[in-house]
Amino acid sequence: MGRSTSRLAPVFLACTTSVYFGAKRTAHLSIKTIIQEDGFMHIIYHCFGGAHSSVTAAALHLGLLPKDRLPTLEELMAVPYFDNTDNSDFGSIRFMGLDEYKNAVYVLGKKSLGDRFTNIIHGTAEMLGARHQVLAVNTMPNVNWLMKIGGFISRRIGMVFLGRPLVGVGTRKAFFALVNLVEITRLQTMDRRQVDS
Amino acid sequence: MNIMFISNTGVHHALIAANIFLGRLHNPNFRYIKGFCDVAHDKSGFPIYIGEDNQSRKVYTLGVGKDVLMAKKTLEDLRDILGFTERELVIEPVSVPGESLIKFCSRWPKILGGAHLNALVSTYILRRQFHVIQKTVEDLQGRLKEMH
Repeated sequence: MGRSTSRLAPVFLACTTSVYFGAKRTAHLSIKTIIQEDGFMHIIYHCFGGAHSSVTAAALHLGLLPKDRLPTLEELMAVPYFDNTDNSDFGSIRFMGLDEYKNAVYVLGKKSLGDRFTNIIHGTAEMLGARHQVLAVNTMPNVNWLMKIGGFISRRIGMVFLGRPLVGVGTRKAFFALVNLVEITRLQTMDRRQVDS
Repeated sequence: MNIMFISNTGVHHALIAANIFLGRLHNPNFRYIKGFCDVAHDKSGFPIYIGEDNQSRKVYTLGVGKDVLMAKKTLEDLRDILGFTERELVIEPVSVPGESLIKFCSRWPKILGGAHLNALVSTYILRRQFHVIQKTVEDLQGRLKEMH
């Protein structure tokens, strides 16, 4: 069976992230290791492509977007990975950042696997004896048709100039539902921390 | 150590591979494999525990839908994120020609004879592809020996 991590034991992550200066996207950098203290969680937001709803939710979780008002398209575009993925990103768990409680937040594109994927992730973590360390959140129920059509046009067909504004409008429409989902997720992580301690 | 055989369903070729690995299956006679073609087992998405070998290695199967390699990538990422290595969890994709047909038949409604059709088609295909599954398991066993 999997090992149990000791208090403050480092968990090494090997993941790739991007560096952004303001709204402008620049080079990709590889973060070799991030020290994650024991007792903190790995929160994985997942949707179809891992480019819009999951990224928006992760950005909300990390405080990269305001929760009290609709973000502008420029603010959405400044979020790392927003409408900026390709086919090779499907299935990759991409690191977005650490929240104020040192929980690591990730995004994942899982194609059409649906809510079953949450169970796949939780089941695998359970098998390793690390179920309490992982929380997978499906953002697909909050995705509207504008996001689906815009995402398809932008990411699949590659007509970014047409798809991106549609995705932007769709994301703004779904925004407060995503805020709600993130708040519920944050409460769940706090609950678990209290149960664990 | 945990070994997880993944394929588009967790109750067909992955299950056969798991049983070959555990030394319970030496010829293509699937009649006595517990859970074979039982799609209800596979619906939740949780790994299915199959058994433990003489080296205390726990064997599971998991159905991950049509994109098996994408799921493998995700599960390996998850394993790395949680601080585990291949010594704690090995993820082995099992793929055979005709697996899409197996998946299709496993979705056929029960009321229209789905269970019967599923068992019939799956058995027919997997009997013919038994050597492919055996080869996958042998390759894995070779890799595990190298690992130790």
